[in-house]
Amino acid sequence: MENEKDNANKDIVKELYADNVDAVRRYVYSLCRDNEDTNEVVQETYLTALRKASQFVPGTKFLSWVFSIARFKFLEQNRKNAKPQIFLSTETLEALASETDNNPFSEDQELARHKVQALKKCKEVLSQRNQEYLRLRYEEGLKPAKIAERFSLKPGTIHHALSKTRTFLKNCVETTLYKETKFPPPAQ
Amino acid sequence: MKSTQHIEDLTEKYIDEVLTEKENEQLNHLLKNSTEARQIFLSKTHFDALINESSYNPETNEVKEPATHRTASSKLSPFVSVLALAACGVLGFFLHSVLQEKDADQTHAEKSLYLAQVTHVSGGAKDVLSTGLYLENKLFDFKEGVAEITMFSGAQLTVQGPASIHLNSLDEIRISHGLLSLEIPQTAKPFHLITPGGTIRSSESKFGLKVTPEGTVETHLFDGLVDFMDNDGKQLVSLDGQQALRVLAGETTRISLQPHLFPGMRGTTDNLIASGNFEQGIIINTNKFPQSFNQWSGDIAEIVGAENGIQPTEGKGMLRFRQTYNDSTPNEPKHSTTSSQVFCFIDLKKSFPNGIPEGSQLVVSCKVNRVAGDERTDNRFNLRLSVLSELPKGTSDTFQSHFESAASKSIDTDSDPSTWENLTVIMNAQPTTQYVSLEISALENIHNSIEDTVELDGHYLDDLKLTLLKPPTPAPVLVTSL
Repeated sequence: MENEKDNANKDIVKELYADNVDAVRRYVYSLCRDNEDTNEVVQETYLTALRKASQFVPGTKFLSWVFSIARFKFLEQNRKNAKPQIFLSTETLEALASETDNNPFSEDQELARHKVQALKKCKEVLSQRNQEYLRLRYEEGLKPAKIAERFSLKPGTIHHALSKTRTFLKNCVETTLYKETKFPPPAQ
Repeated sequence: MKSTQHIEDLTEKYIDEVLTEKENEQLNHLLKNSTEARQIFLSKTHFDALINESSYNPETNEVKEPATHRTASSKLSPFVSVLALAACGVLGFFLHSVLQEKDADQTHAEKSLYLAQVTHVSGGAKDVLSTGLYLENKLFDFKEGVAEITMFSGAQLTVQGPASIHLNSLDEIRISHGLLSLEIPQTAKPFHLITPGGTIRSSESKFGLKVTPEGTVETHLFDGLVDFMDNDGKQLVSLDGQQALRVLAGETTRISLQPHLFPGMRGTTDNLIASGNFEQGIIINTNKFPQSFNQWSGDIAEIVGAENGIQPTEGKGMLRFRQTYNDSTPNEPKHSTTSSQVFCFIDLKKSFPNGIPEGSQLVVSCKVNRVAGDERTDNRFNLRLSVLSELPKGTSDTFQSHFESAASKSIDTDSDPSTWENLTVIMNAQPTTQYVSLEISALENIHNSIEDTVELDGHYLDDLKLTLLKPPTPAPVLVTSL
């Protein structure tokens, strides 16, 4: 009987994980800041979630549950690293996890997909130089100091440009979503 | 407000991994103690994750390992080292060498520097280059077509194929063969072009360079000064002003200057509007549309001198928008209109009888200003450039029936009368483009005043220019047989 319940829970967790894997990945990336590390933590999170499937109570918030596993896996990976990359303390991570209401990482998956599509369009509007900064930062994973070397600029200039670009893209995505979909702009 | 900005700045630095130790402590403190800080942080990091998702391509990244990522090879290193030891040194040495070589490549990649950007490309050069491409220290060659390369040192090269060029650094290129036009700006460090016949050095000049596969080098100096040195660095000849030189097998010969044999560099025409300075004497008609080219007409407006604390940008005159209606519509309900427009039609055929060069862009710009006024003072201006198939005729004709394409831009001006604001519109021109319309409007965007009052309190236009930005062009066919 226990086994049957475990297996049923496992199937539910598998299904929920498949539906929410992008959200999990986004959450883990926000902690790791590196795509390779993110992939490893996401994979470990999945395996642990399956192992602990019996602890998940169907009907409760799946993402809160799986994010807590991801957070633990992230901390575990950091402990393994010779030089931990963590910037946030365990207490800070717990404080952030307490923000369960209006947590953007738990937002509707359809909305998130629309945002990613809108982002691709909005990026095309950027100047070629800003597109290149963004490509180097996100596709090649270079930090501002490395990007600055390529352009013979100061790292602060690149960080400033990236920061402004992210603000522009956020506004652009919100405007695009408001115009093209049913999603309203967020309250100011 | 200040703390909101502070948490936003710290989060942006967290995202880019540029937090200092102290800032990291501040960020942790704020996140532990403030719900608002946590909401801002979550919102920004979530959006950052979405940007990453829209950029990240796992398949690509598996092949192309980012230099700063902990890569597959570096993750394997300890494992490979153990294997290597077990295999008694030889295999270990081999594997270690391979990995080290890979690491060395990555170090080189990390140090790579963008030297230039491709700012125009046409013809067969498109097979190799694309507009907007950033160029590192590398060789590129193409059989035909033209590429414009803007070095980040400021030098501009227009290269015509067949050409083979290696960008060595910000101020040095090596040319095996090719036909080039160059503009070297005044720089602290001279620019060097290394050719099979010697090295050309220049700090400020415009010249054409022809390098044949057989090693003949011709330098045609259009402006400035260049030095020609042999490959040992010994100065052979200095060219000053409009001179030309051929070098073959160490022999130098003065030849006649022939600028037309080289690709044309990007250029801008003079202002194509004679009356864009709005000086006294220019008439602003109040018909619906101008009756001929280079005339101004539209809603009620006039040329005025300095007034209301506003000085013309240059000269003594500027255009003042008055009303949102013109004389051709006396019986229409005037209060329903909310923009005061003036038009000018230009016939481009007069300036370009053989048609507009392919790839050109029309650039129209103007300056606008207004009085400070009060909370009901309108502040918006609009500049519109339209391509027309033919001109509207008479008051009953409509603009739309001849409309082909348009580009426009608006600006909400500030309330400082001492500053003029710029409006610029750029539009691609077709070789067949002949008639264009310039339309500038002052809009009642704040308050729609009633008729029979001055609808616009003090809204001005000056310094209107229309130019054609011409792309680089290939040299005549006769010199392409390098």
